[in-house]
Amino acid sequence: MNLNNFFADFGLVFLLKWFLPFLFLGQLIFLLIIARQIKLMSNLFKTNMDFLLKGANWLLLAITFLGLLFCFGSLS
Amino acid sequence: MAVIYKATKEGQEKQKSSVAAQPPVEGKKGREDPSSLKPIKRRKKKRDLYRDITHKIRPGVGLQLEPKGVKFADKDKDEEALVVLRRHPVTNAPWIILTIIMFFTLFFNFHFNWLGSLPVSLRLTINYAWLVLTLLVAWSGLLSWYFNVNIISDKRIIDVDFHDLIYREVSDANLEKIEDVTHNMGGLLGIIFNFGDIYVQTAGAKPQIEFLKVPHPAQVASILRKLREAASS
Repeated sequence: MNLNNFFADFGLVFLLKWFLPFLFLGQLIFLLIIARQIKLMSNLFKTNMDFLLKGANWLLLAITFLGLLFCFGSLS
Repeated sequence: MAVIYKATKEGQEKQKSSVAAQPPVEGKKGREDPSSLKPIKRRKKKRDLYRDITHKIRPGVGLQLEPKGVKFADKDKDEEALVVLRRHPVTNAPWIILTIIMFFTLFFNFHFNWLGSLPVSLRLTINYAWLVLTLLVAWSGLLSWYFNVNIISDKRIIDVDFHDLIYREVSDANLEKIEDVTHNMGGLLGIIFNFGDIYVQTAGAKPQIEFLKVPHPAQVASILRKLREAASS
């Protein structure tokens, strides 16, 4: 690793390039936790809307995963 | 010990004779066992009474009367949810306002080109991440409201708490175990939109069950008192 290049590139763009993948990863983990919670909560309280909740959560997971892929693709 | 045995035997004989003395039940070819039918009829009558009590309240977004398809923890086969309570919809205002502000920030960013100095790919990624963040704020707010639920069934009251999307707490108490019902209304919004807290003192392990920021607290508290009376009668 060339430290001269590392410090020469250091700036807002550099920080954002590192920060954004972690942000998407965090969002993905958060949504996975929520998916687990929805599943556990449905044992305690379940209505006819349950499938909608699960569907919406899967949709958000897909959107976030696409974001992560886009992030890796565009910023690499 | 012998005395107890005698007493039990006598009791059994007495019970047998009382069952034999009852007239046979008419209808459905008289096949029903009267001893099994009586509690069912009593239960139905009690449920009708509970319905009469609960139907005096006006349903709304945070208050559903006999919602269909509701299942909850340890639900008996013959148990029905009479009232399902959630926080008043107005209490969702903070996360709704935050979501709207975040959406508008995204819109203004596009309009005024705040990130114009950054490369296009980075700009797009930032906007996408912001959009996902906005959706997550709305989603967590909605889930927090949806799963914080209080149920009044024809047998018990159940309080399901869902804190910060990570912690869960469920407490319940039989209707007969309700000892004291207190309600309070406070704050400008509470008075305008008629919502408040209900505290139910019970004889159970968890002495107090709380229904927080529920609509029509006075009416719900009154219903709980009437249900307690009906259950213990």
